[in-house]
Amino acid sequence: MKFEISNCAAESAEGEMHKKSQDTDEVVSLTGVTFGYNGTPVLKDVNLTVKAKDFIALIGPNGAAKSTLMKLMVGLLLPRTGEVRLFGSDVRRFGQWHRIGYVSQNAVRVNTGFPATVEEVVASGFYSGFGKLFDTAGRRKAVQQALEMTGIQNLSRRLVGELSGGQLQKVFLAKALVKKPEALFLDEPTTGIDAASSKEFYTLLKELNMREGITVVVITHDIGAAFDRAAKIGCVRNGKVYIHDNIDEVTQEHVAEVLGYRIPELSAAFSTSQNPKKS
Amino acid sequence: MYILTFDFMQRALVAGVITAVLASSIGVFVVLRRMSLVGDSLSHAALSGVAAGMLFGFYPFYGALAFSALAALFIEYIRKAFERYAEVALAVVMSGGMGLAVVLISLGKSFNADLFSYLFGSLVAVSPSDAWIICGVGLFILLSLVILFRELFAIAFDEESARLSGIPVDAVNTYFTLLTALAVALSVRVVGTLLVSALMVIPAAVSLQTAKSFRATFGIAVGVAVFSVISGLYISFILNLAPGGTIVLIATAILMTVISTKKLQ
Repeated sequence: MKFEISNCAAESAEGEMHKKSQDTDEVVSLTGVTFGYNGTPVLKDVNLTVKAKDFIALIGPNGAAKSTLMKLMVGLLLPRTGEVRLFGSDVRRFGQWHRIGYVSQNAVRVNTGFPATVEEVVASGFYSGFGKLFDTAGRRKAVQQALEMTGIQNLSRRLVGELSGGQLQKVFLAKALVKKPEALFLDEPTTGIDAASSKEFYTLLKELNMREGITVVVITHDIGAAFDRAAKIGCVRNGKVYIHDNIDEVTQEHVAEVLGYRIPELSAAFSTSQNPKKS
Repeated sequence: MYILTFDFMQRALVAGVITAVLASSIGVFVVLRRMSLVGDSLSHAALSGVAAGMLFGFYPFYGALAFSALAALFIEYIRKAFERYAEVALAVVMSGGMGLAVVLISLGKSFNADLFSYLFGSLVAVSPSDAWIICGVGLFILLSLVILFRELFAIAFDEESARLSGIPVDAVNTYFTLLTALAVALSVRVVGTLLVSALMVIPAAVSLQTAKSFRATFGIAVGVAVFSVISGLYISFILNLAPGGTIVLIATAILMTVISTKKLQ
């Protein structure tokens, strides 16, 4: 088990989005981070680094503070002790929000009745400040590109409430992608959607990671998809985070230990994951 | 159209249309943020402002504006202490505002007749200075809504994502609640404190049943509100009814018709 992630997926093809400044290849770093609710720590002295182009799946049992960890990474929560840095800046002073995209855990549950079209929802992710209120041309182009990247351009005029869970998740992904972020943070993006849609979604994430060079950090209970697509696995348990640089070192027994239960259907995923040249 | 030959009716229509546009535009965001009762809370605070004005001798309309604005800030203050239970803040301000209003009304027994117009709205109550205030403050609110439209949409849709887009969510929320308070206070002259909330919520409810986009949601809500106000003022003039009640009944009838029609389809 290791506490630090090194760069991987370096073989990624150069993509349109891979053009950002390389002032640091550290996307997020947590140093000695402790965080708790009502005085009870749920994360204790966590140290980890996410580097550019990583694809990390965070797994752990319910209540292990996976969502808390992700919120700390993006600055939605601030640590009681320790330091969180986003692209080299202290998260408290970070201001380059266009560099990260975030899909929250509750996104689907909260917004299914919202009276907006797919296009309107995706466009709402393109925020360039008060000064760019009427930047309609740039906005329209960015929305079109995000719709195309996620393959939902044919849904642009549909109300979000009319979509299936799988389609809706692509809408949220497109909304996060519309500002051309360098890193995506997704909190259980495939909860409540069918296995085929889930697999398709993780394939899309993998493509974005490999082709566009976008760093992906995803919390998931879909262990099979995680092992099939992610380059690294992060185990969150008992307030600690253990990152496995090499996915092949993670055994089915270890996953069962982390989650607290065994998943019989994982055998197939493991047999695939042990293949060093999996796609 | 002979009713337009009356000065008070012209003022009532101008004030009514402006408040309809304001209340329904704000109402869409209020409903989507699951704060439908915010209008009720603020209007009760506005009522205590009206009562304070009558008791202490300043213009009650100014009292409504000031008290509802203070109540808006108080709602945001309490909301931060109950992040998962936003309705607690609304209930506290609603009952607190009503309690203060009742105490002030009981202290000044002589102004009950005048108070009636603030409770239920009145055609003749909109003075020339009221009309100017409604036009000026109304324009300011509309301009603010246009400028903040993208921010308000993003926050209503997903507050966490909006925060991570760089939107100053807390500041926008506080400003929006203040705008709501001003819109509520402006609406008091036409529809009255007890019914102003309906002008916010019912048109938004109609649009949620029918709209096929967010832009259409606004168009339908504003259309329903303006139609309800104009027809309500006309009918209340002809039949000598309280305008607030008439307006709200028309809007409610539209909502019920839309719901019934949808169920039949």
